[in-house]
Amino acid sequence: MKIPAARTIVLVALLLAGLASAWRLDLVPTSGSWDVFGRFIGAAFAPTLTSQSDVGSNILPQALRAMRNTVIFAVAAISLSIVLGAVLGVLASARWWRLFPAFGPLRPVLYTAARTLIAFMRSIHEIIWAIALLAAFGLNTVSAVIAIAIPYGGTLAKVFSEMLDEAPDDAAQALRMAGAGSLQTFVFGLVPRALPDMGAYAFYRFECALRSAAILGFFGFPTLGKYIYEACGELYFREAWTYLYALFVLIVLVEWWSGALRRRLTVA
Amino acid sequence: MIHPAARFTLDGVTVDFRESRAVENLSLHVDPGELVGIVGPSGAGKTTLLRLLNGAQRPTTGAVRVDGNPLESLSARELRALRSRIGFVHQDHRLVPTQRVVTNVLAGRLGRVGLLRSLRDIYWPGNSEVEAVHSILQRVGIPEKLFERVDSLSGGQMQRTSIARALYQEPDAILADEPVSSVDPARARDTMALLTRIAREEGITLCVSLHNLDLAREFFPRLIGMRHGRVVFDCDTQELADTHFDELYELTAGEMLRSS
Repeated sequence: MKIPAARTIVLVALLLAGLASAWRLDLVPTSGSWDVFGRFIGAAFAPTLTSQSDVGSNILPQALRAMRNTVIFAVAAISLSIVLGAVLGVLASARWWRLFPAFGPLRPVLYTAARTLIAFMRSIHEIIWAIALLAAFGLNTVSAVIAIAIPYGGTLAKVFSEMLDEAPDDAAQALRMAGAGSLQTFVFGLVPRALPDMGAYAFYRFECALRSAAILGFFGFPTLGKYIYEACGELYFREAWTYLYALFVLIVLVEWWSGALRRRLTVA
Repeated sequence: MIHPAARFTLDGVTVDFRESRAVENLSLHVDPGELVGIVGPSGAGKTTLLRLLNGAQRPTTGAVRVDGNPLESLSARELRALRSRIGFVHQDHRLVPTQRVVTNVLAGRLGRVGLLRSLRDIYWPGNSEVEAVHSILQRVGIPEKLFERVDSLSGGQMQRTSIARALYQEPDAILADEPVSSVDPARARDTMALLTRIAREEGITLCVSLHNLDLAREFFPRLIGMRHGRVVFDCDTQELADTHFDELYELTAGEMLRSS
């Protein structure tokens, strides 16, 4: 009887916290109009391929180019993230350092350094990295890719390290008993046990990278976000929805693809 | 192809775990090429005994020698070299389920090569390596599974894959821990026949722990009975009387409750 009571208290406290913050923030629009928002929602049912700004012209080629650019940015960013995530993920894995008693007291130092670096990379959002990199390098493609790759690399590293630490170590133990060295045990016993999960997670992050690449268009990169931002700024919501649906199509395609791949990776 | 076989000696070995004593004052000798069955109830110390023989378990007191070399005096490198010559077959197979059979078997030789060489050997094996694996799979009866993924195999086929991995080591001895406890009786008999036949053909030492007394009597000329971490009997199978087995499995009231 004690546990449900405690649970009730927690739930009530959360509810109160939610209500209190809503009250504190005064969550009622005082300016603007529901009318514009209504038009935005209404436009969802009437996306258009005919430009509203440049009347008469077809925006399909531009939408397709923006989709292609979004994919290219996302692929470049996730590739770099996977490299970063794999290297740092191994360095942040407890099992990795346990294999090298020779490093002695240096082990907790290196392990903590890797975990701190990962936490730092993750704690700053890609938009903030983008602002900083834009200030430094200007509207350069590399800025966008690196801006995504830093936080994504950190997130992948964190999850990869946990997967390596939690993967079954049965095969690794068998190899060790057959005379395999520490590195071999890790590479051939542990990594293959964690790899299907790591691959599936990397694919999920690719989906996220598509959204991030689209968003970075807000800064002027030629991805879907650029056109969504421009159309919304002019209140051309029907055009904006065309680009939003294009993003939706990309995400659904990747999800479908990664689902098929995941089934192949993990299920017999 | 006859290999040199391994000789095992245990001298007054005791192993203490945190809470309990796994084996107590164990002394025994296994000659090169001998086939030994180790029988006894769960928790008798059979697994610990096998793990002592390849240095996976260190004795608390006493000495383990392989071919006369005391294991505690071996360097890490020497221990690796020793283990690469001893195949260990686990009850739960311990394979990588998402990899092919051939990849899992190739991993058996990791103990002999460095990291770079092993990357090549396992992920880009040459024709001769793949053929060597194929001929071992033929011996264990699943040649057609060479390129199948392990997670598509039955339990018996996984067991054979793990035996193949041990054989690919070209071992001087095979230690098998309850290799047949997770397969049906007909498969169990086949697997025992396979292990003992291969050990005889190769002239290597074979130590197998098992529950099934009938199988043990059928396939092993020498049986060691263990209970509560001690050797209850150790003799030729022909000399064994039923009273020996009664002694081994004579259950206390507490044990009966636990096993029911």
